[in-house]
Amino acid sequence: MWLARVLAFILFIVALPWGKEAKAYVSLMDGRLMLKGSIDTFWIVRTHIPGQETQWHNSNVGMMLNTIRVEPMFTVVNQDDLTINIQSIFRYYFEAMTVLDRQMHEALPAGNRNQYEYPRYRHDDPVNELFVDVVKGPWNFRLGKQIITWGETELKRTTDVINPMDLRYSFPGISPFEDLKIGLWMLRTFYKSELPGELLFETIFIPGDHQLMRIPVSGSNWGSGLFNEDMPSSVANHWVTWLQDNWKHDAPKRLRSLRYYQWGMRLRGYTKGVDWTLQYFDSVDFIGTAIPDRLNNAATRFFGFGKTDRRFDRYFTYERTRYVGGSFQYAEERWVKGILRGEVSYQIGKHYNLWDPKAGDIDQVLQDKVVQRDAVGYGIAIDRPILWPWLMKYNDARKIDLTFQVFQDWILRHQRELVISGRGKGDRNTTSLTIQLMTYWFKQELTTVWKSLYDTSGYGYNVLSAVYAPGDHWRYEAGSMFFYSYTSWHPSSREFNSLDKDCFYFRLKYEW
Amino acid sequence: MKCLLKRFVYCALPLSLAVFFLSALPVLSQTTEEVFPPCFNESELAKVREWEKTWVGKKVNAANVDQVKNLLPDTLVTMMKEPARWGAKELWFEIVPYQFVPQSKTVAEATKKYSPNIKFSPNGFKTPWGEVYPNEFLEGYEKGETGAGFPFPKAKTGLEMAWNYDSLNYGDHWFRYIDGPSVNARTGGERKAYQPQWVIMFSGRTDMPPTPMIQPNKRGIRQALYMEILEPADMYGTHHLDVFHMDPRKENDAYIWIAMYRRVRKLTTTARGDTIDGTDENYDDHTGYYNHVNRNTWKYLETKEVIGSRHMVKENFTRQKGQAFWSGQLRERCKVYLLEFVNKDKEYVYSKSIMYLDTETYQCLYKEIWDRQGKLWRFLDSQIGVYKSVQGNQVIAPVGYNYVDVQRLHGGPNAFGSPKFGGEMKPDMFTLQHLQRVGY
Repeated sequence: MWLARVLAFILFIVALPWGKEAKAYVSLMDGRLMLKGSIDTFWIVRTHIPGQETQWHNSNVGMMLNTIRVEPMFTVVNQDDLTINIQSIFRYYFEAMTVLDRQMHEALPAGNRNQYEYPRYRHDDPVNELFVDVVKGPWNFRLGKQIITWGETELKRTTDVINPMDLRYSFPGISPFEDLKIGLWMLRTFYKSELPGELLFETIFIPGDHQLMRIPVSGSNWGSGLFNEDMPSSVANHWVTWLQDNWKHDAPKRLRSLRYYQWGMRLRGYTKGVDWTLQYFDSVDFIGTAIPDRLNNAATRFFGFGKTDRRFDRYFTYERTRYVGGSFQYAEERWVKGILRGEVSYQIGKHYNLWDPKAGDIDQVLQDKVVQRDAVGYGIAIDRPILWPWLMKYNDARKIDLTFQVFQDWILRHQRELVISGRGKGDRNTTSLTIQLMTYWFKQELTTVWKSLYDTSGYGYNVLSAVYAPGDHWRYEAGSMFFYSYTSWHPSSREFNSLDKDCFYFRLKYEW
Repeated sequence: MKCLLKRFVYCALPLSLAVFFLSALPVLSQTTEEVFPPCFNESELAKVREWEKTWVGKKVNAANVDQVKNLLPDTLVTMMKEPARWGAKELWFEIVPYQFVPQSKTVAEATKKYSPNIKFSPNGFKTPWGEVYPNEFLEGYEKGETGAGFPFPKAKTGLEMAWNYDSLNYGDHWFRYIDGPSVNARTGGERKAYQPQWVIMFSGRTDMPPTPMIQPNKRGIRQALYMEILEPADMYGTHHLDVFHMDPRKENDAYIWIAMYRRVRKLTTTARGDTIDGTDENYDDHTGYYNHVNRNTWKYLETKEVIGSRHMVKENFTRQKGQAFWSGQLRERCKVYLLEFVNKDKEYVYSKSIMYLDTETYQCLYKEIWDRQGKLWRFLDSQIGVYKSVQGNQVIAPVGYNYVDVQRLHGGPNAFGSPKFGGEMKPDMFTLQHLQRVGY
């Protein structure tokens, strides 16, 4: 049955009217309604599955994500001084591998599997974005579910902190952030001023729509799969699943609790050739803070450190944190001959749990107290086209677009016991370096990209990809993603999730 | 003292005024046709009419193109002889009678008013991209003080002709759709482009008040272009803003709002040499040349008679699927200035280009481009038409254009859709604020 559905989907893609003269969008109602969309299938084939994990896989195919995406844009009013549009993106997907591969099917607990295979984590997941956009004079109001991008850099987020991300299906190296972000219901307002510097005032108010960062489901392709030899895999698997369940269970009830409102403002301007922004965001953390004694209690029960039957209605709280920062873009044509971009952020009062050092190597035991720390981060990027005469003979004289980025962050008043996902205990600060080279071939029908990231906290990756777009509608993409990591086992760290996730990926897409 | 003052008032002052007006009289009293005369004098026109008796209404194709090859760029002749290489069964155009294309009254008036005061700046200066030498830059241009219209109605040098080309303003505001595919003639594959485009002149205005410059213009903008990309599909929702400054020391600002990334991205000027989205033109190309005059050294080669497209009608364009070059152009005998230009940036993608500038309209009819190895690389065939602006003024502007890559057999037959000249546009539209707001 499931196999039939997948085959039907693939047949549907193949049967699309390729070769016919067709517009890249559908225009209806005298142009008032524009429909655009795409349908694609995205496969991940892992190069290696470690010994213990093979019990959960019948093949090396880790993912077979099939997505249909429709983007209607309806113009309600279009008068001289008033424009009202309804913008939307609907997305429905089906992850077929956990259906086709019985071992993978068994690896995921039923509830998680259902939320993973379809957009069912939250009831409004198929609505990626849906908002009314009203433009009246210098004012612009956008009310509805939206994805927002602040900041100037890629691959790492410093000031781009409005929307949480869904990392269950893809990765920043493979997909742009905007495909990974989760929309939030909000009111966004712009005011275009007549003040010098082309000042644009922007405010955001999110009335209690809080969403978690969605990390990969244990047992799925990107989820935890490598287990400490000292620990039965079933225990570790269930512990991660238990954590994920409770993060979700304890998260603020969306749109029902105004106490978890979030708001922000941004000022954008242009001064002496520099585009700059200043921003402030008062947010509720995407990631929960454990209530120490309760989590200790649960860990004790799970890992058999002691016997306890106490159960609690909640184990995590979601605390308020604030960001102050800014960004800039500047064309430096004399020396760099490229674009300089940068962003800086000061995070105020993030809540951290503390490991209990007395518990030795057992990381699941927390100290009773929760502490607040500030953090500073920045990112600098240089975009510069490179002239490589030899290559220009082959790529239609295109330059190679080079993007080099440096990110650093410091946790102020750092201490080794801070529980921080994705970095070592001694890492007061981390540095990430990224490089991206991109060029086109055959009149831009073929795009090749190399992305690489190295993070001093002990991990990194390399992505090589090629996208072939021969006509108006079909896109063929193939790529590889190879990780490296040397940090120790840690259940929620990215290196843990990514180690042994080296893969090739393929995407077949039809868009209109 | 009183006597001296009286002498000055009664004699010197009137004499000075008379000298001033008399010196300006040759320009001020000229009619539009005298300022911008037809390219043919009476005897030449008679010969042209005689030739037209044989050719008008005739279809020129591979079979008979050799008979008019002296009146066409060599590249075009070669292409027409090998239609299969361009994905066509036949490449052809039609000969129409020569018609004089007068400039609009507004442009002529502005030319008469401002051109007598135009002079080159004796001082050179350095810019981020190279040096502007003495007597290359128009004095006061960076402040918009050069007014509008053609600065050199009787242009003699290549540089003067280039400044005339720079003054084209298409009714000050213009809107059009870029409508056409990027075609791989070898495979027949097409990638469609459909992009509404708005352009506004901030200075050099002749048709729409305020003339000759929008005030205030604190950023010193010469002109700005705003473009939305509806096709190709993978670029849908991308918005592009290009702001050109009058002062060449200030880099042009180019921004792009990419739907996929939801960010306003500034583009480096260095990237202007890159081709645009798989087409055969770069950001500096457009329908001739689209950047600051002084980025190049200009050389006038010769005045030549050619057959060029100056009264094109969009409906005449025709081609089959997979055909990388238009057929159906309406071409007429006319005269062009051959203008060679070389970018001052030694790393620029072109080693040189030659524009064929229509002597009556200063529109670019053809352009040939050589790569860095000195081999002919690209060719532009531009079709000009005559429109009326919203204000009723005549506007001479491209109806379509076709870049081809003669090395890789690739081309982009474009036709401009729904052109509108002199329509209302707010300068606010050409700001970063607007770009940020239109992005979702």
